[in-house]
Amino acid sequence: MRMLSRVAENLFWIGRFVERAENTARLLDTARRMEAVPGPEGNRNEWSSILASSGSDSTFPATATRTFRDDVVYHLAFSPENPSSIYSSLFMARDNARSTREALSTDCWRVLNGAWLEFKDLPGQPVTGGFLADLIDRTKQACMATVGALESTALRDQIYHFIRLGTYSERADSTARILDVKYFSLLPPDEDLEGGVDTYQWMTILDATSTRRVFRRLYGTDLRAMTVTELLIQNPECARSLAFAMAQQEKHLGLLEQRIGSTVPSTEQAATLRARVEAPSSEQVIIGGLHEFLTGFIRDNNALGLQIAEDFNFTSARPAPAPTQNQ
Amino acid sequence: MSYDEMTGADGPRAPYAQVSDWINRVGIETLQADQQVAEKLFRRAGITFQVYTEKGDPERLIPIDVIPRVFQAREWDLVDRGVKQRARALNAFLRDVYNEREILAAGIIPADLILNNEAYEKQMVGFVPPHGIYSHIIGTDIVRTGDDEFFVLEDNCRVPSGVSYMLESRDTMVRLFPDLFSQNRVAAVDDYPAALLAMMKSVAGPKALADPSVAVLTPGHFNSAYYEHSFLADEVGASLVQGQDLEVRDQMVYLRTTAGLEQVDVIYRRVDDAFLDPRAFRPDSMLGVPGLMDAYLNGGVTLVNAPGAGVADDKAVYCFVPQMIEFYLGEKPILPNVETYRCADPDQLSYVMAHLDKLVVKEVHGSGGYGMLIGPMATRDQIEEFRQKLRATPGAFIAQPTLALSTCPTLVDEGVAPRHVDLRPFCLVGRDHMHISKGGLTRVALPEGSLVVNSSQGGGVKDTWVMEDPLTTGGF
Repeated sequence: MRMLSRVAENLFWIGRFVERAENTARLLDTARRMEAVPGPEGNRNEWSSILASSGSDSTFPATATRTFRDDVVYHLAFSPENPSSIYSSLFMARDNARSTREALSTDCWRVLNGAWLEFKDLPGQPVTGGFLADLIDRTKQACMATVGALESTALRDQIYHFIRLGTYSERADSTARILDVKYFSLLPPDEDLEGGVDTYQWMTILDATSTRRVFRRLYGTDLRAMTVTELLIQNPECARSLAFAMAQQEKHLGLLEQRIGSTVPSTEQAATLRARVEAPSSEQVIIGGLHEFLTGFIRDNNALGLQIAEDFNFTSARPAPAPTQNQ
Repeated sequence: MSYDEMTGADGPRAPYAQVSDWINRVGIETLQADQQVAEKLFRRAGITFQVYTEKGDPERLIPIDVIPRVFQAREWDLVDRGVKQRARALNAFLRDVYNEREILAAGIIPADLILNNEAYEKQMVGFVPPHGIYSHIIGTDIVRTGDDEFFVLEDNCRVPSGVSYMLESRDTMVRLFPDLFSQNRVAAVDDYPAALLAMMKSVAGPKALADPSVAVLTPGHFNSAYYEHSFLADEVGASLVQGQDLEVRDQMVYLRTTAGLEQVDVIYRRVDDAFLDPRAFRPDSMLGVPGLMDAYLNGGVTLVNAPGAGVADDKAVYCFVPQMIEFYLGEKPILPNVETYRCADPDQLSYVMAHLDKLVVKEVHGSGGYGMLIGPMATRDQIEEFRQKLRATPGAFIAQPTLALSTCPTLVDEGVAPRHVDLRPFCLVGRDHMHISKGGLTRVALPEGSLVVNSSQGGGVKDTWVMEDPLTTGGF
């Protein structure tokens, strides 16, 4: 079956934006949980951390309208100016879906349309603890319901593979960014590396990636940089790990190759990147510098996205989140 | 007094006997409940619709009326023959005015009206599209005033819309009232998509693939008729494309696909001439395909309908369709025109000025029921306003007597009441033959007494039934 490049591009971005909405919700969740960690005054930077790691600081307004925390929450949840906000992500996902209606199953469209309609009417107001937690939960549920509708109804053709390729392209980016939050939160880096705050912060990373239980099953109480990074970078069975996201991209690219009847360079590129995240032991990653490793990965995953666009004749320029900045 | 299509002097007319029984049997309340279900089905399918160039909310839903509009086989035969006759004459006319211009030379139609017409496309001069067909899809608006009295109100030769309504309203009716269809011999309309596809493939040019590749070109999902574009593409199995999906190389047109470029041979374009190709027409157009006209004029692709086909459906040109029929076909018109005064003509203008309170005055280039004066219903101020306009630019207007449009029983808040209707059948013109599905778009003016059926002005739609003649159809 022939597929128009424009349609493929829309589908890829539906996958990305749905995943991005969910991941922005996860980032907010990380900060919300870190906020509750008891810690020394003057060393609280969870809100600026998620701003930086979501790549949203370039669009963050210079002048404050509320408290810094509330401004960050607004910027990540509701701001139309921020292409990574939940609002923008759901809008873009739904808008892409609307212009590609005929390609989506009715169920998938309804769930996505419903998610947008519900979200757009929420007050863009900050944001008590209870409301924020509820907002995060509802966003995650809506995104997972969209993916669930796709999984249970879609024909496994190009349509499906482009959406899922988008999902995992975005997820690889997002897990790397969430891990990187920890790097920013560790500043100053030589302070209290294995102390209580540190343990609690690793726990919030697990919560933000919904891997706390998975971690307990695999590592018990051995909560350290080594074990967490092993799970979220290397473990090919962990649905939110970099290795998993890369393997999935490679898989969907391979299936797309079968359908279009020729090979594309991006498959090779995905395989190389997968091998890289599977290979190094956590120790090496940490010694080599976690932040450097993650920024390098984010850059290469982004380059893979551009190669995918070239391979399948995508046309238009799309908003990508700004790269993570060094502090 | 208007002619009511269901009820004559002696009760229900023959084709409506069953429908009339049905209305009485089920009662108003049940019908009104069913009506709501019908609207819900439309809403859920996301069916939005506007007749071409109408303004208004692009996501507006048009109301559907559950009481069908019924034609006997004999009546439909008249419509069918009349519309096909016009389609032949209009295509002959288009070929003539872009080539030999015999009808202008013969003085039958003023050359100025054609050659200086906005819709006359100079790039088409001297070019003959594959098989000489310019307008492949024609929507002819027809009104009725009596038993066998039909008049053509206008021809739509550019990109007539509304055919999805014919199919969707039938689909909705069959779902709601299966028993009605099992008890009545209603002709099917779902032959349309296959006929459309066959027509498109039949008009492919000499450079086309052995099995020609077809596409529907849409301005995109912000367009008011996008639903219809995607519906038709789906139904015929064509690619639904936007300008950016097409690429011209060496005067051939290709789809940009995930597997590379693929040739496309026939494009059913649902964008205006002006937005087809920024190189040939409006350079600011984001919708078009650079080089498309060049490919077209060199036989690389067929456009359905041809650019410049609109010169045949101008309301001032409409006046001359009966003459076209005689000139090109040597036949008498099967369906008459409504008597029309061209205000460009001084004698006709002075008649119009003296009878403004009895006439309908329309803009030559207007559509959608905008910018018109319905004399008998107008206030004195409105009439004076039009008098000024007519004085200023008489050539921009035509006038027609107010017709007593037929009415059909229609479900309204108070029960079942007569409402005015019109009809748009869709004529497909292919290489070897023409096709009209037995049905069409029946539009109904829902406000009491209203003669304006446009969806932007309170119009709804009805399912259009053509009863099969029991003698000619045997079943399987």
